[in-house]
Amino acid sequence: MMSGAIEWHLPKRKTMEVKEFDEFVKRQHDGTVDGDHIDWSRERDEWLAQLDSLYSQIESLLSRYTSSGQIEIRYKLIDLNEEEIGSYQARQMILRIGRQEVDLVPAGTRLIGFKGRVEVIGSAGKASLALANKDRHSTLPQVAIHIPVGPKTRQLMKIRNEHTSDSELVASSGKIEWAWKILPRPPGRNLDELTREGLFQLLMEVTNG
Amino acid sequence: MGEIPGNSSLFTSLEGAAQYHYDAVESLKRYFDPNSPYSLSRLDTYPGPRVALRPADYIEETGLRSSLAMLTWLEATFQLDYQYRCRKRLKDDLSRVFRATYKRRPDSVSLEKDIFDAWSSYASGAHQLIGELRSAFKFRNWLAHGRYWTPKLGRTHDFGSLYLLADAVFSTLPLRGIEEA
Repeated sequence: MMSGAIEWHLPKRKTMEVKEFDEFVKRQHDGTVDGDHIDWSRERDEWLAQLDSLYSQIESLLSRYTSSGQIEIRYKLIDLNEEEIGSYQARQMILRIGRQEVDLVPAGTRLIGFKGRVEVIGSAGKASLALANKDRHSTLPQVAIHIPVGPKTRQLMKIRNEHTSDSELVASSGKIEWAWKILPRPPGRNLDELTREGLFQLLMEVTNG
Repeated sequence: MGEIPGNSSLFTSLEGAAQYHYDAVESLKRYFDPNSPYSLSRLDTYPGPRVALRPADYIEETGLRSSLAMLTWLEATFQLDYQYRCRKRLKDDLSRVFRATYKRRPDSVSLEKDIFDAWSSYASGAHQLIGELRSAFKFRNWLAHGRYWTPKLGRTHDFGSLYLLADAVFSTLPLRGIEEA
């Protein structure tokens, strides 16, 4: 009796599991469209190059004060560890403005739709700079997320994914022109350009100036 | 979007959470301002021995607490969505997978292994966002379980970055069931 029951159930369950596993394997490969085929070494190098460009931009914006000795700039190397990239070193910028010190600490690359983020930390608070698509003006990522219903829409979405290069969440540089922007304090969503005035205001905010 | 169920009137939305957090931070700054009358008089009000804490320590701790609250709300919204999709028997692929999970284990759904896995596999375009959530929930687990180990988070998290993440989640993922809670 027992063996009869098992014989009846096992083949059916086994067939289901193979089918489900086939679909699972297929989905994992489909999923690579979203992120698994990214060249992480290149991502890291581009991020570090963009970090250098941010520091050059800030040095330039503060040149009047650094040349007169009112602001000092120095750098130190810090360790970063990101899930896909692993451990690497990046430069942290340190601004000395009289008795105040402001640290520009790299937070990492590929964060919530941005190519990178730098924390600006002063004695009175913290603000953030983000590396975003130059044309992007909102903190919200420009990505459309859909849930397929049945095989037809599943196929349509696969085609759409393969032909859609947008999605800043999956963006891997190339054609996108990046720019450093000032992240607003929540719940704001507007990204501001990193201008001279914007930088001055940011530095005053984090130092209570 | 971004309504958070089951909380006090202060915490009914992402915007409310941000307002509370930044008001708390600003209050601390003023409380510890050397020019504030409270800055010195507060020392007379503690009944026990005092711990040496800098104002920055209070602000950091406030940020961690606000971060934990934000992450627990995020978890609640995913759990509510899971329950809604199971209960309403929706026909999309994600809901079907959820129902299969519920059938196998009605009393034990795992946020990270069941819910996030399914969203990552069955919601087109959600892979990267779910990856961000997984990292954030390692941070949440560290916060919620006593912070007694050094977490390998892969990135830094704070209230600001978690707000960005939550805002992106509520704005882009078709989460269901929140309005019913």
